[in-house]
Amino acid sequence: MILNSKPSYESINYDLRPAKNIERKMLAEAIGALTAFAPLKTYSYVGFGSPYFTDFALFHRVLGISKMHSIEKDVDNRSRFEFNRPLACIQLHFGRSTTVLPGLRWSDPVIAWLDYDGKLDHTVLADIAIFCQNAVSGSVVLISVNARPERQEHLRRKKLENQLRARYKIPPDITNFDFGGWGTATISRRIIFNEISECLTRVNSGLQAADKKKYEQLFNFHYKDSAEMLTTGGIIFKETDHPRFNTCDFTENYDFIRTQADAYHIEVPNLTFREFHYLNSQLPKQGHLSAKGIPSEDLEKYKRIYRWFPRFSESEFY
Amino acid sequence: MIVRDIELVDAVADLVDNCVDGARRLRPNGSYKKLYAALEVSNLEFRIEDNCGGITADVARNYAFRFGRPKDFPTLEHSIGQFGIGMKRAFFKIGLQFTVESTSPISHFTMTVNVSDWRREPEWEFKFDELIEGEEFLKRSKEFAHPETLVSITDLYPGVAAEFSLENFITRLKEKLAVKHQDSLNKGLQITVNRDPLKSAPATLLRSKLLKPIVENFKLPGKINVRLYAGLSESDPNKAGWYVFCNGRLILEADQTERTGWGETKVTGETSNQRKKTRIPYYHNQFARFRGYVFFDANNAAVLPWTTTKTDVDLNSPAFQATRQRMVLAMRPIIDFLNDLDGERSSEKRSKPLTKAVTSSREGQLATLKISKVFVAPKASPLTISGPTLQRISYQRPTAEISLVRKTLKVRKLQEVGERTFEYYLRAECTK
Repeated sequence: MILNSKPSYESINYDLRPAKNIERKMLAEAIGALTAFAPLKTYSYVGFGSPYFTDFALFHRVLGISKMHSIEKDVDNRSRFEFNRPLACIQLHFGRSTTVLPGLRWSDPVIAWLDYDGKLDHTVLADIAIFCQNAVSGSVVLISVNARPERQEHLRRKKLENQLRARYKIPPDITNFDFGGWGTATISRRIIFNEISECLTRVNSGLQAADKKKYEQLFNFHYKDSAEMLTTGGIIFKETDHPRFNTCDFTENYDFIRTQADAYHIEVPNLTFREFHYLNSQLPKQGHLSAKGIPSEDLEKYKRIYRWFPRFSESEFY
Repeated sequence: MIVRDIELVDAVADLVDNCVDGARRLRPNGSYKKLYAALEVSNLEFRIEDNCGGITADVARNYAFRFGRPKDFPTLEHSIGQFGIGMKRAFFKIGLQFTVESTSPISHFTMTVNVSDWRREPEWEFKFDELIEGEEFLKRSKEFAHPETLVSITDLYPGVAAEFSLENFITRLKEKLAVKHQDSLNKGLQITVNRDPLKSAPATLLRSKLLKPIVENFKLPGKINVRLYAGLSESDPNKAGWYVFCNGRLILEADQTERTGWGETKVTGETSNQRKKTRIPYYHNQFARFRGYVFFDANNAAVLPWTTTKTDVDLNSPAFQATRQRMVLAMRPIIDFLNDLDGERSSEKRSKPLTKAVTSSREGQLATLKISKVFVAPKASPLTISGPTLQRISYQRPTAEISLVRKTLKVRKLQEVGERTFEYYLRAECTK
């Protein structure tokens, strides 16, 4: 028996994961476009705050959302989470997401970031079903799961079948071979997409044509601070709100939007302060950046993400 | 009211049943190579095309497109689908417009039905658009050399169209068809869904010189042929149990319930001390290697032990009752063997003949297995002890302390932590 791993917040400071940091800022920027559906202050944010609450702090600061709900499964460390709550507007809910989610207020649009520590499993799909059942037009769902391929290659499909507890959710063309590299992330996205589509079909069977809900995928991020991770998600809206969705024009406005199976890879080059300050002085720029000694692929990576590039520095707070 | 209440996957499966029926009639005992059933499923149209013999004009008139089936018409040999109900029911479930075109060795017809118009007609009859049979068919037989049937359903119900465009629905359909028709697939019938051929691994049981599964053939009243196989295969709790087929169609999959004899109890003694004694235990993962297969075949589908929907076993049917008794008897020696195997695994003995018999056996396809009324397997070894006697120590310590020791020892497994600390104590304190 191998010892159980600790919850991820005990081993990683969420603030210090550069790819995640970039992803968070990109998401916040795209979510800003939702004003076409409703004023952002009417939205609720639902997340798994962990003791750092980084996403909560950002979304409150940048988007002005102040109806915030954090779901925390680590019920044994209640006081620690309460102590770390950075904003008075964050309500803490202790318990599993599948138990907590149905009890939240769903009458206004919601941005739900279901940012799981683990891999795609049946509880993730259960949460997706709860979202699809309850979310009103204009709501956004984001799902992050670990997508590191299982070490035992010959058991990969089998393991996923066991995690999902349903064979038919994995298309028959998927073999153990397909899970390698970013394959596990690709497969996870496909299953999540299929689950959302299927849930909405069920929900829609009880709705009038004008109220029928539609899902448009907006995000398909692949990134790796330590393990391979997937964040996928998008917006749910009713047929009559289609013009509002068109107004957002996500694809035109943000180049990290991915509406299909192809992913946006967040790749973070390692640069010194001097280097990125020097590069910033050349940006924005159409052609190649120039800097002595920095590999050209790192320059390209930086050019793509410089607007969201994290600046970590040591500081002491009193 | 027209019946539209069966599940959509089942409705599609019913249509495939008709193709499988055709294959059985065409090749009663043979391989189904070069026969196919091709399904195209989209949100605009459902199509199924097969070359399994075609529907004759007579069958169309008297079974397929007739409400209720005349009693005096002879039974269709080896039928699993009920032409009288299944086909029409599936059409009505899926959409509002359907076309059937079929060429059999003796006739050719086409038929187009718009369900909304048809409902308004006083007589609920179906009419052929084109019908060629008898002498005219013989004259034009070159045109109709290849028997085939094409069914197309359009103007799908909105709910059906939505389902058909879901990848999860297509996956579920493929799973269902591959499992249900594994017998036909293994005989060479090609079933495709949106051009993807369905695959099915043939059923197998472990066999070797030391290990032989039970294989029986017997007949039951009603001219039912029964083939029964029971033995071992890979350890997999999801696949363990009984599989029951009727005319090639799987109706019970990996069953681990009382229906197939698990947890079968027998009352022993008639005195006041009367006790219940379990003959077969309830299913447990210790039996994850158990596999049993029963195939019922009969020309007259009505005598087979299945329910009217053809999706479950009819527990009250005499054929199943008689067979179930044999299934229970076949399970007993295999359960004993698996119990002994488990005992052997957890024992400290070095010699493990049962484990060896299992690991040295190979999977053999059912059709290649020889008749054997008994389950042949080595006996559990007596309580002789070879090598030093071993005992197990087990204890619990706080996680933090274990982590510390594990780190210091540079080992991964908890078992190693225990063994290494024990060896250390033995060396440091006891062997000086």
